[in-house]
Amino acid sequence: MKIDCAIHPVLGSVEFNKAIGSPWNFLKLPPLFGEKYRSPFDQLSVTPEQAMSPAAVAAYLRSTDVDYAVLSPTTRGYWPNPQQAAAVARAANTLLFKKWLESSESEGRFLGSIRLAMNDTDTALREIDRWADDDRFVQLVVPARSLATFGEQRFFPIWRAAAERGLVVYVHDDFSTLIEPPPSQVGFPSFFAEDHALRPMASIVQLTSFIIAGVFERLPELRVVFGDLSVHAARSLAIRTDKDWQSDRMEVPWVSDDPTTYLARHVRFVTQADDEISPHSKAATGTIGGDNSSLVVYGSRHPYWDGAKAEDVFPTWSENDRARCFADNAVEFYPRIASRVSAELSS
Amino acid sequence: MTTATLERPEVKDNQLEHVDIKVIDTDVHVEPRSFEELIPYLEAPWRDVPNLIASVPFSRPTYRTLEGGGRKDAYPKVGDIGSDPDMVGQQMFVDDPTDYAILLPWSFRGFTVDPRLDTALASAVNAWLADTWLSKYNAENRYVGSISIGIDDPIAAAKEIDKWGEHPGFRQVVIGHYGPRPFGHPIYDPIWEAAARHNLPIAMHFRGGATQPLGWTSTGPLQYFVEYHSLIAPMAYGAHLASWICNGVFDRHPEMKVLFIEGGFLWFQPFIDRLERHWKKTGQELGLKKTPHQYVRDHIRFATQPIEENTDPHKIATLYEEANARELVMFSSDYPHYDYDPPSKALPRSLDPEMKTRIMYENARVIYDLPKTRPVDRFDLAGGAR
Amino acid sequence: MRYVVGAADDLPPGSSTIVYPEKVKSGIGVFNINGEFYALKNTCPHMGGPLCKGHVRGTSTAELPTDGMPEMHWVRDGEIVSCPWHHWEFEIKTGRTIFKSKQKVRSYPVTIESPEELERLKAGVETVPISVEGDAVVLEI
Repeated sequence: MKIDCAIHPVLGSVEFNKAIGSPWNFLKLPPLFGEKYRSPFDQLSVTPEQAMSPAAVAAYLRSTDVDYAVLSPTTRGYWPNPQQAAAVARAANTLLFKKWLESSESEGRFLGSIRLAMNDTDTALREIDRWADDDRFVQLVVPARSLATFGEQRFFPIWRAAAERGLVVYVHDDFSTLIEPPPSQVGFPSFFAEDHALRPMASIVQLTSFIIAGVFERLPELRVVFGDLSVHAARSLAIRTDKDWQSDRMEVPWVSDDPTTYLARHVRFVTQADDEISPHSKAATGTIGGDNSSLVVYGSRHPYWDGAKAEDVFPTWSENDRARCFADNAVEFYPRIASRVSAELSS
Repeated sequence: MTTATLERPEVKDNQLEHVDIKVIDTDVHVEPRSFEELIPYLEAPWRDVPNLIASVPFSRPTYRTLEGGGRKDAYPKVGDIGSDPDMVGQQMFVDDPTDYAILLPWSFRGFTVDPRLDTALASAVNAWLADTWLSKYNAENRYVGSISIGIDDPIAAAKEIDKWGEHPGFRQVVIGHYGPRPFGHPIYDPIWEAAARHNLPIAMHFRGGATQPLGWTSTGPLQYFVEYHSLIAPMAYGAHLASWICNGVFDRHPEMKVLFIEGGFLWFQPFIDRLERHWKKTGQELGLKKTPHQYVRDHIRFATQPIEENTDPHKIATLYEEANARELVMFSSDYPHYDYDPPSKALPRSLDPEMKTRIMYENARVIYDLPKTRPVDRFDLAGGAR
Repeated sequence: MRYVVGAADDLPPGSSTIVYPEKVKSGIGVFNINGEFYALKNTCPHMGGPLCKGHVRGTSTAELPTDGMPEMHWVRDGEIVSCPWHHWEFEIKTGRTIFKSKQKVRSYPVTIESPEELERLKAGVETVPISVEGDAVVLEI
């Protein structure tokens, strides 16, 4: 079996503006690309038409032998206008439902994500309620760059709802926030290459915040997947956080154990292309915070240009460890995928 | 080669017994006894500004370890921590001995919003250091100095580097990590040029600064010191590293070395792997000679402190091996800060012996062009001999 | 071996001292917590720092309400010592770290001996300070 946890269909401008309704569509919401850091190349690995087409994506999934794919369309991250943000999220979810989950091309493969606007927690909770009864929605999707760290108390009811309803929280570093503060804390870099290299930092900050603010401590059933963060990058900084917790536990007494110990229970990392050249990728097991082969879940990040190809994913690992990465880990980690798979097996 | 400006009295080096260098500490903080001690080194009109110290940030109310930043057992009876040469000498060269201490002074205070003040303070610190730890306190030639500069005025900073660049006691330039743009930006070029003129490495050390909000990240402000201390330095250092590479600074200055101090080590490998993996596409518009991995090998080194630890130290040793610590890492203690790493205990025991010697002294010895042996001195005789 | 620290009266509740027996050159810290005495080796199991020179204090504990952010409470005043290096917190009574770990600093049995008992012990006692008036604090090292 193969599960692709990271498929990011593109919502075209025309259909999106239609879905979002007025007055927002008077603005002809900005195209997906052409933001502050322009890449010197095409950021899609296929044409926009193919990226927008359920048939094309389904064909891609068949060609890679994928049984289930978790879809989270790309939108911008943080929208300062809370009503606009709510409308964007609702439009993304509605389009995902109508055009993708309900499409005949899905053939039962497409699973979905509930996009949330993080401006207002009550609005986000209502959006969850709108879709969560449909068990094809297996996760929430929230932006890695949200202008506030996710350990803040005001986000907590969202994580609690996710934990209670068996929804994974997927942290997606989509194409930055709409109003764009510096991607580093030393100001704006000059080139796309720098911005691209720095993007995982936001996810690392959110991971650290979930741990240190006590969100995992308070919600033993909460599960978070990072879509754009290498397990190696996460681990290298979580090791530092262990040390600071040992020194300054007094500041955060609700954290009951080394920060790295929260990874195995609460966190998974989508396979990144960067992993292919990491010297740390040879080790499948015996690594800090949990075995690499337990902590990663396969995600192609199709149709992004910098996604991972299945044949390049941890090629030195045993067949068994690779199988865990390609399917078992996702089945174990996503409650709604687990029940879907076991229902299928028993039918 | 001596680092001191004063000749050693009476005895010539070659008449003394020599010992092999075993430990170079690349992060030691010495301080003036008080701000008053610095004032005579300040140029006019700063020297005469009443209560100037109030303009220079020291304590901050948040993002602090709650029990204070200094080792409780390193406070002298008189003067600030790190200001007493007797106590520093005892703790650095006798208690857990180091051979050479690379000094990064004035660490407890941050930079200000006024570039003229920053420049004046840096200048005063350099003059003070030359007058004290690099001469009066340095009869044994154990201390190696860094030239402090104010990054916000690159022209003045270049002048300051030129002023001290040929002084035998100064072996590097030290900068903080705060700034309005990452440091590969062309406005900072005069600084790297000046350092290159004198073949001086650049040490980047985590320092408070006023030109960005403290504790801010690309996704908002951090809440806790535990987050701040573990994340800020690696993230900022990464931004500067990518910036130096992508702006072609290393192509323009092929001998330039950057030393990342007090940010740890293991974070850099995944960071540079990401840049490297996509370089064919992302680097194509930059017209550069090398790839990111090559730039790191040729231009970057990392100090150990705060050294990564785990209940199973062998796991850290493995990560170190995988990330080529052998070539890239230099020992540091961060004396006299609270999270000081003692040289005798910092490294994982199972680390390969050749790697240990490279980390404990050889990599730094090459960077700073220090000799392989040094004369026996009073600290050795006091019990610091190994 | 028995080692005399000094007069019990010289170590009132809330105070501590460090002694340096020949056998334990790095020292042993002796603490009086509410009239009970405890002794810990002055060497942190982490990286060998002078543990007993650290700050003696209480520590924080967390409360997790069902609604609302975690809260902190200050407890156990005088029962914790934090190492001057890296600030690891140790429970003075047991030598265990406050944060979850297997790490522990060695502790030594402490007794209070009357002057008569001290006389009887003199042969085996490593050192008797010049004059100990009244009861003495004695370590087993």
